[in-house]
Amino acid sequence: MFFKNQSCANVLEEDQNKFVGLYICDTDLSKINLSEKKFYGCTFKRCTFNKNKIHNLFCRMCLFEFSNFNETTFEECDIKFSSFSGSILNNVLFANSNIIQTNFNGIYASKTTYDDVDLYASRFIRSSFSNVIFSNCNIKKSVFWECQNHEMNFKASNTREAIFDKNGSSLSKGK
Amino acid sequence: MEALFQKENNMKIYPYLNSRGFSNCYLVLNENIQKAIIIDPGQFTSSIIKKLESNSYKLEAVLITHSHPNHTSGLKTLQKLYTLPIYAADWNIAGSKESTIKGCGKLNLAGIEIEYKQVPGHTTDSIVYKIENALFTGDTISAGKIGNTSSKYSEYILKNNIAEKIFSLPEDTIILPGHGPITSVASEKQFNIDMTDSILKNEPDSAAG
Repeated sequence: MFFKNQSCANVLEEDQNKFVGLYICDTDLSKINLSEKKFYGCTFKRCTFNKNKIHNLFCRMCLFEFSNFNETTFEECDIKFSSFSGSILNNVLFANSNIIQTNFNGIYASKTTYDDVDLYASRFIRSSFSNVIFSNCNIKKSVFWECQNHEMNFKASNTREAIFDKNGSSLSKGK
Repeated sequence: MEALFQKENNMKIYPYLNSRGFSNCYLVLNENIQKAIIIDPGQFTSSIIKKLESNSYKLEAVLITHSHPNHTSGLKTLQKLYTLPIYAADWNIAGSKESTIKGCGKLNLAGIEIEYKQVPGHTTDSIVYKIENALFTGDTISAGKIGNTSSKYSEYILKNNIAEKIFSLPEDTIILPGHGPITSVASEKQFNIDMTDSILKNEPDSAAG
């Protein structure tokens, strides 16, 4: 199913909670309730998420690339093998979630917190961080290469098991 | 890890993370005719067997992206259980002339149309497989980086091959790599640290080292 405008809102607001193979681009999804929903192989490209409170979202092989997340929270979500690459995250909270083997390459994250998140084998290559906190996160085999950072904190996260490059190695020191 | 990616024509893709070698193996199912293919069985685990057997899928073929053990070690177990063709560019892996593939072409296996392109660089036998808008790249390219190479010249060959054969695909093409998370052609064009630094075509001398 291919959607390039607000008409997709009707689809997502239907009673069903399982969606397969959706393709949604250039759409404002701020008013959509994504909590308790399951997405398989769905694409949300260049979409806007503003003040979404997302709880118990389930995603497998989903793309949220080049999207805009503002004042959005992801709590108790289960996201695997997905991609947020190229997205802008402003004031975003990921909490008590599994976000495993997920692509965050090229994100611009500001005032964003990963709190108690399993980020095993995720990638943060060429990402920019400003006031970003990784608190009590599993970052084993997570890759931080060529990142730009200003005010980062990895408190209680297993930085020794993450993969930092020469420049990124300073990230692990945190505050 | 098990996940699901379903296309509209009842084709499903299940990725499996191999605990040995941390490579990705993919099971592609055609629900219409209950047939399946497997890509890069670095391990052939009980969870893969269960997925096939409990749903009565007939495993019809194996596709290998390249001959490194973390992508092929499951073949031993697999061949004890099933008799089926193995498609690869390396004859030693394919085991027959009929299933040794070179260059580029098309296969129709388990009712699924598969395009393949040889993309040497990481290894000489590296092949990528495309099913609809999903590209299985093995170690040729993964999210943010390209595969390791044995020399500067191989790196130059690999980069050129990626530019020509992968970056020419539509930007929405989803890359399902041999390691790490999924990505897209659009993302790799912008953020791949190995591909965004140089204009490749015009600098063979400097890259040849």
